[in-house]
Amino acid sequence: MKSETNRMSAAEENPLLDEFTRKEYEFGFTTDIEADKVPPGLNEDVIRLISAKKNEPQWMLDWRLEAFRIWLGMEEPDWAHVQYEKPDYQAISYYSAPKSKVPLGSLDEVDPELRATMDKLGISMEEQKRLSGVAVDFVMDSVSVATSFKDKLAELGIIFCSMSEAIQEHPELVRQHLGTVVPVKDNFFSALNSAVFTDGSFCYIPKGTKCPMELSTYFRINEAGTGQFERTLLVAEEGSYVSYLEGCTAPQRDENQLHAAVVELKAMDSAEIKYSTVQNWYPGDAQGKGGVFNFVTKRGICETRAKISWTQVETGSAVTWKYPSCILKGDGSVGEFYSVAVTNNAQQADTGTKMIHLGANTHSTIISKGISAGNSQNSYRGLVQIGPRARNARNFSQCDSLLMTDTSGAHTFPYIETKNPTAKVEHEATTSRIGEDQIFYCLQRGLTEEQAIGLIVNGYAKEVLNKLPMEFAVEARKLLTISLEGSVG
Amino acid sequence: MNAVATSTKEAALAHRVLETVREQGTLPVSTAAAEATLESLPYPTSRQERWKYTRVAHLLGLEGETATDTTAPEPVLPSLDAHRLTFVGGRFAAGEIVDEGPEGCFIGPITAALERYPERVEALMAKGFGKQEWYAALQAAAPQDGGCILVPSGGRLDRPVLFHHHMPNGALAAQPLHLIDVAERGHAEAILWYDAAENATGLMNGALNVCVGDHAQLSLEIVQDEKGASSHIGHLHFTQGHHSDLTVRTATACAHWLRNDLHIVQDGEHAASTFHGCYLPNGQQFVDHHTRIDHAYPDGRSDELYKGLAADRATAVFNGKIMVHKDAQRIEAYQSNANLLLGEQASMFSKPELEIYADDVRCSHGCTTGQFDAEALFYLRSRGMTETAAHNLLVQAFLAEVLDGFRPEIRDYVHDVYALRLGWN
Repeated sequence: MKSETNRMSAAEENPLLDEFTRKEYEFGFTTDIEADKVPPGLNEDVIRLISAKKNEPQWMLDWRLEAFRIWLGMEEPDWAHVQYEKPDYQAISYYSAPKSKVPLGSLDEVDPELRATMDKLGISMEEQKRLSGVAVDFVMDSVSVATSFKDKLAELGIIFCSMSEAIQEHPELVRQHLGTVVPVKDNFFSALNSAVFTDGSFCYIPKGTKCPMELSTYFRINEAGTGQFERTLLVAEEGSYVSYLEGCTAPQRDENQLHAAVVELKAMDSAEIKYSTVQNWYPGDAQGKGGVFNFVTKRGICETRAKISWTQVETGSAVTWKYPSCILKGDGSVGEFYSVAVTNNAQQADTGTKMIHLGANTHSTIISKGISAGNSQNSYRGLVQIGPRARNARNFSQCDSLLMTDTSGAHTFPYIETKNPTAKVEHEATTSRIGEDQIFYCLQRGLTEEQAIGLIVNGYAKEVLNKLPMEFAVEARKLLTISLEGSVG
Repeated sequence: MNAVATSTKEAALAHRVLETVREQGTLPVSTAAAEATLESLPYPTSRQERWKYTRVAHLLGLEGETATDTTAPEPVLPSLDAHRLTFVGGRFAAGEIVDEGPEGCFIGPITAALERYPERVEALMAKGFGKQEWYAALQAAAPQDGGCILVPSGGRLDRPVLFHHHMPNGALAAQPLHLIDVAERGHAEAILWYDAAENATGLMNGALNVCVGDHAQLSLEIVQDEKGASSHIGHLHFTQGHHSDLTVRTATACAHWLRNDLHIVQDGEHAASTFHGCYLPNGQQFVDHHTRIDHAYPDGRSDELYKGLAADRATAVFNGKIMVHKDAQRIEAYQSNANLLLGEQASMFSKPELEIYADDVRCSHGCTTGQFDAEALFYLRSRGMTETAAHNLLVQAFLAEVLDGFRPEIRDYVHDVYALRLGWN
């Protein structure tokens, strides 16, 4: 053991740590494309303009305006364990669309610059199409520019398109489901999103259909000073199945970028939705300058015997405020939440889930793995609520935290509310750091320290990584290793 | 945060409580700071995180009468050999003062302690105990008489001390303060007993301030056995020096509406804290245990165990926070909360929190809410027990982990109260 008085500085002791803390964001680049952009500010006229630009029907505009009026009366929440300078909502431009808009579905006509961006991100659409059978709805800023596999899905009656397209082509479906899981007045950010959302993904799986491929969307914030307000709606009709992948990287920016998305999932009777996210937005520099504010509302509702499974790997963003939730409304429904959240440097994350058990025999599982490095703060905040009618409800929660440095923090704030005597709720949490003995063991067997930490962290997060679809699992492992190599304190 | 102007209802309640309490006599100490704090703080509502599950609106209607019946109650635990001091409605009623002089131990009411050793008591009272809650500030704005234990360096009490506070009948408000100071290498055992008469409907808003010095030891047992429909808010603050050892056991035997705020600060290295509690609300009762431990220095340990059961339409709340400050390395902190829900309309709200700013720590918490183990029930029933008898046995076994830590007299007493209330044989 090292003596307290003669302790070396972290950098001397561990050159890898030093190297890591100076590591620049690998995906930090911007694409130089002319954008059609609304001047900053938010008022009813801006909303009318967004709606008009997107050629939306009157009901949509009314819905947005109503949301805006509700938002005006709301206050930005401050209960999360994060500190940041609140964004000036009047300084944000609420609409930005690449001018070189091409007809959807025709990959060859896509702007070469955009194609290059995709290549830098490692998303070669043809590759994806050919090799992995993934349909990609690529979102650059707010408007969908390329969609593939659409025809194949259409044969099965599956609708997978951008939200703006869905509003045009399937208004009845959008109108029926939009805002039913996350109501407009649910919270400050959901109201804001409802008022100004510009695009997102819409997915509808008809009764009894198993979606034959993983659906995915790549989000990317590209235009400086643009908030991105994505709206995703996913409806799985009775007995259907879908696995949806969402992945994010953002280019480096000096000013904070706001991202307030809303994701709504509806799993009808016996349907199953698997929703996986890898989030790697720009986390800001070592001092926490810049970086994305990620204030997301994600929620799913499960009807009888339906299942929703959230899996997330969160490594990016300066501030994260995100609680993918399940409302287990139907009897026998199942909710799952698997999460790995990594924070480094000055990142702050307050993330977790809500499992609301309303129906009888509902089950939920929560596995949350937090990893804190640098000067970051990483909090798990979760709610397990068993309603009075949820007989034989069952929950198991496990929240582990791993601390890499003595300047980072790991916190756990679980809320467990039980109103039915037949329920069984278990929660356990541990906090520890990587054991010196574990590293010693690996070093002794010829691994480098970097490899050892990669191995230990990947082992620690294995329960969650194993839940990811294969394409994502590879990316997620890479991300974890990149984010954490050499960062043991 | 939101320091809203107190609405008339809250201001009126504060006024009534302070008026009544002052009429009965308060400690001659400066309360200006607390009064200012009280005015600046908002009244607790469910919108505040710490009061999310605790409804205090019913207290706004408290009348705050003056006690008419102030006769000392029957002694509790008659078989226990202890120094006894009895207080009724915030006033000293009976008991013998032990005074070994300035260098020795002192056991007596705070009023007497203030007269004899003003500097010792005032130094103790000047220690910063948290007052950032409306009700804590209300208590501090008009503290009433309570027990005081002063143990000098290396001192040792020959017997345990029992402070018995009794709430008489009526809608009385009482705000007793108890003080315990165990100086370095001292040792003490104390029992705090709160009870209430059958027709008590008032508010017991009491505080306990404890200092455990370096290398000192304190074992404290708290029993809350309040019949009637009175409400109880307890502000229990502990500060520990280095290498000190503190054990606090709380048994909520009976309470109509109870909120305990227990806060331990480890203000030195190698401190050890054990805090256990049990509760068993039934009927329409409400029991809320909020605990917090601050590990401010390295090498501390804490062991927290709260077990309880909510029957009928009762509500139980547990909120435990482990706070490990920056540079408080090598902390071992364990927290466990287990609950049984027995009533169709009973509710349990549990919030075990960890807030950790140091990396070389071993902290864990576990929380369960559930029902009887079906296999255990089957085992007992297959051996001829009725369902009720089997339930009762399992409840007793469930609570034994906490109850067995108390001295046998208290363990048996609390067990008997539970048996009577839940109809055990």
